[in-house]
Formats: sequence, structure tokens, C-alpha cells
Amino acid sequence: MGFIYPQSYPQETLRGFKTPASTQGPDPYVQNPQSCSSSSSIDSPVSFFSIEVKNRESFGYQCRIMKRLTFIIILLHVGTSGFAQTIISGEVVDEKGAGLIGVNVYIQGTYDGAATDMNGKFAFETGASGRHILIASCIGFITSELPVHISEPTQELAIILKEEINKIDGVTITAGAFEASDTKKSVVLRTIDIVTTAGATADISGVMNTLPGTQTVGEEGRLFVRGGAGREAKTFINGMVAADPYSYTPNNIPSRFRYSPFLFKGACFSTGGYSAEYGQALSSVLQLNTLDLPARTQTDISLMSVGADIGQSLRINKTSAYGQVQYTDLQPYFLLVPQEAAWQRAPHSVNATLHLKQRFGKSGSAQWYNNLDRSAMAIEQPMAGNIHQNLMHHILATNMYSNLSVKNSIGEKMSYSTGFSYTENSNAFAIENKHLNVHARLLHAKLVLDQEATDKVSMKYGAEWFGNDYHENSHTGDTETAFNARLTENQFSAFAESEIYFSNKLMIRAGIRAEHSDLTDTIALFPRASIAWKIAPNSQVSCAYGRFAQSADMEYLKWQPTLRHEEAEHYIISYQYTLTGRIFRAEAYYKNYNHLVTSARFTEDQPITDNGGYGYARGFELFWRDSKSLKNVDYWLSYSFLDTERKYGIFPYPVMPYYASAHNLSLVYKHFVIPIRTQVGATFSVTSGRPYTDPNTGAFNSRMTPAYKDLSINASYLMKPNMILHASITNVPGFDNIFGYRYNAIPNEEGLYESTPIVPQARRFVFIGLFITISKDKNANQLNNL
Amino acid sequence: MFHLNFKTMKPVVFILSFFLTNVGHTMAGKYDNSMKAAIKKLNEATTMEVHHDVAATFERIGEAERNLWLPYYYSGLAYIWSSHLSTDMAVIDGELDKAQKMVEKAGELSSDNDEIVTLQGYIYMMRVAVDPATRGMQYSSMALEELGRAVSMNRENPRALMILGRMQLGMYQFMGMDTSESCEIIERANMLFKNQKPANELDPSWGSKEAAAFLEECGIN
Repeated sequence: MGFIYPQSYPQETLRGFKTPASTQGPDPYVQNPQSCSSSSSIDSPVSFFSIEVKNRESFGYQCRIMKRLTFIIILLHVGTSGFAQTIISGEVVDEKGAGLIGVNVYIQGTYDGAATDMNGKFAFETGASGRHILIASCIGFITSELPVHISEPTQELAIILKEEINKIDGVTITAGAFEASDTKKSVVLRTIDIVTTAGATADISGVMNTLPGTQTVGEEGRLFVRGGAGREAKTFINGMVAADPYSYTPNNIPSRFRYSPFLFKGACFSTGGYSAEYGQALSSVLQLNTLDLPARTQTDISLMSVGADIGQSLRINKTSAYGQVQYTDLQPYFLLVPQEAAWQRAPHSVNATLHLKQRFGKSGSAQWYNNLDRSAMAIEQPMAGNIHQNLMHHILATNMYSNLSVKNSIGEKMSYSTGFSYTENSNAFAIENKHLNVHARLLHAKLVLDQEATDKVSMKYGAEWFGNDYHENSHTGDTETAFNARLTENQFSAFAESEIYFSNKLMIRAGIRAEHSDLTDTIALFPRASIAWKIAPNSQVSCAYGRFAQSADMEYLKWQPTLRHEEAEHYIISYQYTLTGRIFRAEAYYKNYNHLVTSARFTEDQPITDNGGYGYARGFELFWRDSKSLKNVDYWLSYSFLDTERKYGIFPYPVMPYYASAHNLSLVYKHFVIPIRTQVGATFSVTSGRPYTDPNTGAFNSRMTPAYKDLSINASYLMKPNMILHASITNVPGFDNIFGYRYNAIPNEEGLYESTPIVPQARRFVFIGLFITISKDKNANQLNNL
Repeated sequence: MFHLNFKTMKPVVFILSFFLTNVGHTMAGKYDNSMKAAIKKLNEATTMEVHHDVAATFERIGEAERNLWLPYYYSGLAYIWSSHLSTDMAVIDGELDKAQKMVEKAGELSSDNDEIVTLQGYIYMMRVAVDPATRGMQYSSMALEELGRAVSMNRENPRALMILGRMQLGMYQFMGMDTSESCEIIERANMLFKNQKPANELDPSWGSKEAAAFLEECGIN
């Protein structure tokens, strides 16, 4: 039998329902962009889903003399041949009673059905009779399965389609979280932004530094979040900690992220209030996810003004491998462009990556990410407390990172992810004839179970172990080891967290984390909770609260292993407004620090430490991104205000720390110039002054450096589909930036402590690179790899 | 239970055999006829509503048949074509979301199927077309990957070649680059369309009209 569409029905069988939308005025989809959304028609009878079943009178003959069996068979037979027809009609509405467009309504196991019209109405013929299941399905709604009995007399049924909880593009917790993703719709960053943001020079932390919540600390390069020290911001790769993600640099020279941004498909940068899954971070968590299986076998070659690299990816069915070796040497560049510091040997390094990925079963995947980074350099740096005396530093820094993670589902509603990461950092310093070796290892093992308890409630349970091993020794000349410190710490943690979606407008996440350290033998509990509420279709409010902990810095722990963990409490409120291509966010927070380690006094060169420190940080932040208003232009603006004081370390009283700045502003601009196939970008950032101590005035951290300003530009020119030429320049106008001052420990004859400013290595940094991709598909280029 | 002798069994067997053969016949015929009618309707559709209607029909056939990929394939195709009829980004994305779901269902029933992979590439191409400046980087590689995969599965698939050619054409036009190579691909697809002989009447055979239109864009008639 063929399909009979509602249009072909005699008008009277539709029982007063209007003829389908195609015969009515303008195209309803223009006014009603979301199919399966509520229809806007006012005259639509706001009622429940109703069904009318009516036997069509055209069934014209009966055969009473036949045996009963024959009768049934013939009846069934003619039924499938299209004579015995029943008309089913009705309306599909949402929970508020509004008609839904484009819902597919049909009888299970048959072809008989129809899609609802602009008023949510439908009608179709069926040859089926007796007990059946009537399905009503539509994307975004829970499929309804309604038992019906198709026969005379007419039946009235009441069913409403319930909205499905949309965890990807529905309500999400935005308090403190900035996500870079290509799968979700309303995210702050796209992964491509990491490599196309001027000033960031393809550095992950550099891009995050253009987001609100961060404070630029020019001489460090790493992330400083909401008044927290650098060590309070932690990095996780596929859920596993990466203990030392920044490349080694000498004092006052900014470091970079050692992992290539090209290897990650998404990032979530949380500036506070993060999930109970994450521990050992007081201020911030940066989560990175490695790329999926590469699509094809290809070779990537980069030729850069500072070095070169070659990468090869292989794909064989469900297995993929990526290997990359990079060599960089700043020596030629330093010879060309004079640097502030007296380099005897510019940093030169080898960085190797091996990434294996395997898919198994229907949803299982395993991946193993490995990185080896080894760099050497020799630099003359001023002696502490004497600006006129330089000491030669020879440094050999080695970092090894291995990360194995496996995830899979266990049945329909459960999944697990487990992983193991190992970071080994080994730095050898030779300062004149003094030798210092620092060797730190961190093991992290974790198991997380995810359970979809219902469509609205999901649970997460996990356990993890951090094993820390720190070893430091130093000696002078040929003497025996003068100092030797070794410390191991084991931390066991467990957490449980629940996400509850009350609707597509309201959800909460609540969790608790328990941590135990074998050094202090104490168990501490850390509750976390967030709520997100969509107050209007484009507006959302979120709040987050949480308690966070982190072990004391090894610098102190090595002297006194019984120091307890430091603690922070976060309170965040956030508002987000999103339109297609535009996003606005405003956020305010208060942070409370407790049990910070202080080391105000020294005896015999050893600090006397305790957990008596405390502090606070508060502020507000604004973010606006717009890729829509100007053609081929994408820009964002971030502003952060921070007020913070703390008493910790050698601080004699609560005071603003050197890495904090009250105002941070970033403007990132990207413009795709189509005729010349070039993306140009500019980033302007301003950071207000940061405190430093001038011994001539006496008060600790009472002076302020001048504001830090930078205007960087970059351009990526697509020479050929598989070849990109990239150039970038930092600090184009040549602003004079001062990060702080070094002082002599002893005053001169006039009683003044002499000083020299700490300034950037060079006024500008110029980078040129040519990136080539060689594969069978010659359109592939490296930017496209993201 | 009741006893049946041969005499009473005979008409039952006769009736049953009539029933079974005819039901079997009509079920297979029903699928073919329904698919043919819906394909015809899809090819003639000009409004979004008719596209939705026919997409829903294909989905119902798919749900009833359970193990056939073609109904879902056509349902996905109907939503992709429906997305051509709007200029509103949100509407286009909504249509493509539905197409995506159908293509995924088809893919679950038939893996490594060059026609389904082509459709996936088509969806990605449409995602780029919505907003090339911001989406080009992300979706163009995904589109090229899928279309390249489809072509490598079947070098003679005119639809895979045509969409690949169109994707490249759009990209090169956007970049202001030489388009002759992509036009050659479309020409090759056009030749294949002229000679294509689908094994089955229901198998995908669409595309020759589109190929002709794309060739016009290339300045080739």
C-alpha cells in the first residue's frame, strides 16, 4: 500500500482540524525556526495530545458465510492490501500545552504515520487494528510510546511530549569555567584560538592569559589566577595531572607550555569553583583533552626562526600513532637580536612526543601520551643581594611525562575512566662551582565511574592516589654532599558528585571530596556545589561554592614534612548572555585562604614554618566576544579587577603579593582577509602595576611598578592549501615594561640601596615559521588539523 | 487442542499458504513501493514542510524495518536538502542536527558505506557554508576527511566526487584560489552520473542535477 497524506483526506474526517499548513499563508518555519518547538499560533487549541480513531466506511463487504479462520485471514490480508483503513488524527503538545511542529507520529512496526504540522496536528491512515503502540518522536523530546487500541469506538488519549534534558547545549555551569570546544555551541573559545591568538605565540597558557580571571606576570609566563600564586594553578591532561607543564627558564625569563597546542582538541579553564574530581589545586584547573584519532597518515614539517620539527601521524583502522621531534635553539636569534641577559649559551632543547591511541569495542578508547623535554642553557645572573656581581649558571633541565588513560562504558548507563600519569622533573644547576640537583617525581592514578542514574540525575564516583617523591642535593666544589633532602608523600582521595537536572533551565552539581595525606595522617573533607539557572533563553546565572586544598610547597615541606595542606574557599556568581556568535559574561567572586605556610623567621639557614598564613582575594570580571557583528572579524575583550592581600611565605603582614595586579585588560582581534588568504590578529593587553619592596622606603611590597602594556600582532598566510606562513611580533610599539627591581642587600655610602630594574629579555620578540603538511590529501594543512 | 485430519487440514493449509505467500509478497512490495513513492516525493519537494514530511516517512520506514540503512539515509538527505531552503543559521543548524541523527542511524546499520560517509561529508560541508569565516577551519577538514574517505572506498561514486568537488570549489572560491582542479572533479562526477546504473532502483542515484548546476558555476556547460 502507498502512503496517504493528510492532504488527501476528505475534510470532514479531520473533525474540524484545519487543513495542513502547506495550504496556509507564509512558510511557518520562517517564524518558527526550531522545528519541534512550540508553535506560536494563538488559535491553536491549547490542549493535550488527543487521538481520534475512526473506521472508514469504505470498507464495503462482509462475508458471513466464511469460516471464522478464513474470515480473519482475509480480513488481515485485505488490511495489508489497503482496504480496511482507520484514520488516526490528533495533536502533539509540549508540557506547556503548545503544539509541536515536525513530531513524527506513527504506529510502531508499521509505516503508518505522519509528521505534525505547524499547529502540532497530524492525521494519517492505517490498516492496523487491535492493540498497538503509537510512537511520537522528535529531537529534543523524550519519545512517547502510547498503547492504543485501534478499533471502534473513538478514543480520547492524553499525552504530552516531555522535553529531553540537553546536557550539551542546555543549562551548564559557567561560574568560573571557560571552555574551548568545537562540539558545544556556546563556548568562550574554539580550539583554533590557541594557535591564532596574537601575543600567545601558540602557547596554551598564553591564550588563557587573555581570558578574565588571569593576572599577567610578564617575567613568569605561566598562569596566575585570581590572586593565586603560580603553583595554585594545575594542569590536567585527559583527567590526569601534568605536574610540571611549563618549560624550564631561569629567573625572570618567561616560560612556555611544553606541550604542543596542536595535540589538543579542547580545553576547559576553570578559574574557581571546579568539580570535586579535581584536587591539589587552590586556584585554578586547566583541563586539556588530547585529539581523537588522526584522520589520515600524514607528515607535518615546521621550519621556524627558532628551530624545526617533524611530526608523523599514522592511522591504521582503530589505531593511530603520532610522533614528533622538535629541536629549538635560540642562539642564532639571540646573536641577531641583543638580549638583556648575558647568555653564554642560549636555551636549546629537544622535545619529543609519542602519542598512541586505540579504540576498542563500541565506545572504548585507550591512549598513551608521552613527552620528553630536555633543555640546556648557560646564563650570567646577578647574585642575590648584589646587583653588581654576576654568577654563571649552567642549567640542564629534563622533564619526562607519560599519561595513560582508558575509558569505556559498562552497559548502557555506566562508564569508567581510569588513568595513570607520571611526571619526572630533573633539574641540574651549576652556579659557579656550586652544584644543585633537584629531582621530583609525581605519580597519579585515578579511577572514575560515571553513572546515569536517570535521565536527569548522573553520579560520578572516583578515587585517586598521588605519590610524590622529591629529592634535592647540593655540594660545592669537590666536597661531599653538603645538603641532602628527600621527601615522599602519598595522598589518597575519594570523591562523589551528582549532577541533577531539574529541567533544561535548572541544574545543580554537588559533590564532596575526601583527602588523606600520609605526612600529616589526617583526613579532610571538601564540599563543592554549583547551580546553574537559565533565566531567559539567552541568559544564564550560575553560582559556585567550594573548598579546595593543596599540599604545602616543597620548598617548605622539605624542611618540615608535617606542614598541613593549605586551603581556599571560593564563592562565585556569574551571569552569561549568549547570542549566535556573541557571548557576554560577568562574574564576581570572593576567595578566602587559610592555613597558608609562613616562613618569617630563620634559624641556621632553615626557615621556621607554620600554617599560620591567611588571605583573601575578591574581584569581578567581564568578557565579551563577538564574531558576528563585523564581517570576517572575531574579537574578544576581557577585563579583570582584583583586590587581594595575604600573609604567607616571608610576608610580615597581609599584603598584596608581587604577582597580583588590580586591573587586567585584554583585547584580542582576529580578521580574516579573504582576498589575500591571510588571518591577521592583534592582542592588546594592559596590566596595572604590581607591588615590590623598596628597602629604601622600608615597607614590604609597598611600591608599585609601572603598568605593563603590550601590543602584539600576527599573521598567518595560507600560501597553499597545505602550507602556512606565520609571523608574529610582540610589543610592536616598544613599550618600556618593568617587572620589578633588584636591590643590593647593603646600602651604599649615601645610605641608599642601589637597584636595577627587571626588564624583558628584549623589547620585542619576532617569530617566523613555515608549516607544511604532506599527505595524500593535499588540502590538509596544520591549522585544519584542529 | 483439537484433532485435525487431512480433510480438515487441507483448506487450512491452502489458506495459510495463500496468507503467508501473499503477506511475504506484500511486505516486500510494500517496502519497495513506499520507498519509491517517498523518493519520488523527495525529488519533487520544494518546501521545507514537504521535506520534513518525507523525512518523517523515511524514518518511519526505517523504524519499522529496523535493519535497513536506506530509509535513514534518505531521511538524512531530506533534512540536508531542507536546510538549503533556509537562510537562517539557527534553522539550518537545526535541520543539519536532524540529518546528523539520521546519518548516524544509517551508519550503525551499515558501516564503511561510501554513500553514508558521503552524506556525513555533505552535512559538514553545509556546516561550513553557514559561516565559512568562523567555521571553515573546523568543519572543512572534517568535510574533506569524510569525503576523501568516501572516494577512497569507492572511486566511482559520483556523489562522493561531486560533493568533494563542490567542497573544494567553495573553499577555493572563498580563498580566491584557482578552482580548475575542483571543477575537474565535478566534471568527472558528471561523467559518472551519465553512466551510473544503480544495482537497485532504491539505491542512491541523485546528484546529476546538482552536478550540472555546479558545472555551471565552474563555467562549464
